[in-house]
Amino acid sequence: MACIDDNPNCGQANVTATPESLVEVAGWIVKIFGAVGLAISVAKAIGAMSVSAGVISIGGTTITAGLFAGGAVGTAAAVATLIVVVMSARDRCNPSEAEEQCVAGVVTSLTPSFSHTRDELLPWQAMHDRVDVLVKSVFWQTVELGDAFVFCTAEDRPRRSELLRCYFYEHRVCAAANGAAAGAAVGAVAGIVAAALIAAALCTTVVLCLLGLVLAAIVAVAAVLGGAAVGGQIAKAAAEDEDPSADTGEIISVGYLVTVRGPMEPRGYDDGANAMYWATRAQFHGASMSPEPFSYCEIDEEFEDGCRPVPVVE
Amino acid sequence: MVAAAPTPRSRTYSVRLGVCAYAGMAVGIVTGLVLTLLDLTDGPLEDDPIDMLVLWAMLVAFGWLVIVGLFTVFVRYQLASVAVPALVNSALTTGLMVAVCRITGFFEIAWLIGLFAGLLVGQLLCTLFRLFAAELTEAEA
Repeated sequence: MACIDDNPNCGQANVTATPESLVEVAGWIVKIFGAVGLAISVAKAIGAMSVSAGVISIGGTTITAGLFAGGAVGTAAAVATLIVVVMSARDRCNPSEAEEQCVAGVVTSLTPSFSHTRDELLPWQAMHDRVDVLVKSVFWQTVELGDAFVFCTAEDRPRRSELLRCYFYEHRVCAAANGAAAGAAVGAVAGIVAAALIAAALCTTVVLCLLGLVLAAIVAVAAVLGGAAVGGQIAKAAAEDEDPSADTGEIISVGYLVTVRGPMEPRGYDDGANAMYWATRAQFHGASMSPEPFSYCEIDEEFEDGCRPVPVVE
Repeated sequence: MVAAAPTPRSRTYSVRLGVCAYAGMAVGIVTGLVLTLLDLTDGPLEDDPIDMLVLWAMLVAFGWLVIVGLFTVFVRYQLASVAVPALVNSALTTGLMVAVCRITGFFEIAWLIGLFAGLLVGQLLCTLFRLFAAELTEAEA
């Protein structure tokens, strides 16, 4: 099979966009810290809160200023971090609601879940098993939908081919994310208490008080992340490790010819590239006999994929 | 004709604001809240320039940690790629925030001043970076 007279649209097709994860996390930081700041400013402005001789009075209740300040910054830091962990858990346990797409090609690589060290430390960030499919050229338009970033093979043109990342749901990843969320909630409570006590102990001079508030925020975040790590690892240990497989039971391996269906959307986790999240059906067509490194030039004609209906001849 | 997937509003918004602006807003509001709480517990803050410098230096260090933590833990960047830009962003954002608070005396809304200082500084840094990158691309071409 000759390579076609068309170039894959590799890399970034449009302007560099801000990572969606940054938008989400920064957004929550602004909302939570802004809410706490607004509450304090308004309470002070309307006289609901007054400060005198290192003691804060709120509606008749008095509390040492350092304890209040540490509790406030600890609460903001802990809640913001907790929300991010919970949002991550939601992403790992709920499939995309995007339109279903179908692609076919050869499997070029597999990335199992928890394959990075950071996934053990931050189990709520671990991702499902990923199967990279070198797609037939007829599916390039699908991979490029919405001017998304496109991953390609390292070969020179005209053999360079487009890749689509297809995620296969693994219960262990969802369990770890949910466990992390639960652990983070427990850590948040402990973190807020610790933050309040640290600030209360250090708020004797302006500089020490600033140090105390900074430490309070750091301790609160650390407590949430620590709780998430412990909770995630416990849940992960209780779940089974599964491998991505086709509908007929074959464990998907590198070199297998497959047709994969599932909702596809651009994902910040994948540098803005379209990814199947997650595959709902996978059809196995046998092992590829094409020479490696693989290219669409051979894969295009190697098998009849399951995306396009076979015409009925009457 | 390829049907394009609809662009979410958040994506369009984020392209306009840029990475630096989000980092600036985050560091501005976090360090701003800390300053607000400091004013609440130990206020009114003394107008001593040395004290202000010490406070600013501590806020720069904390702000740097906030940005580095944000980008390495949550956004999965490498530490080496964010360390220096984070320090620049933190120094400028907290410096602007402390300066405005000192001039106006509005330490009780330092969190709000910090948010806008971070947005302004971030947008400026993003713009400068885009101009620099464009000039570099032109020079290479």
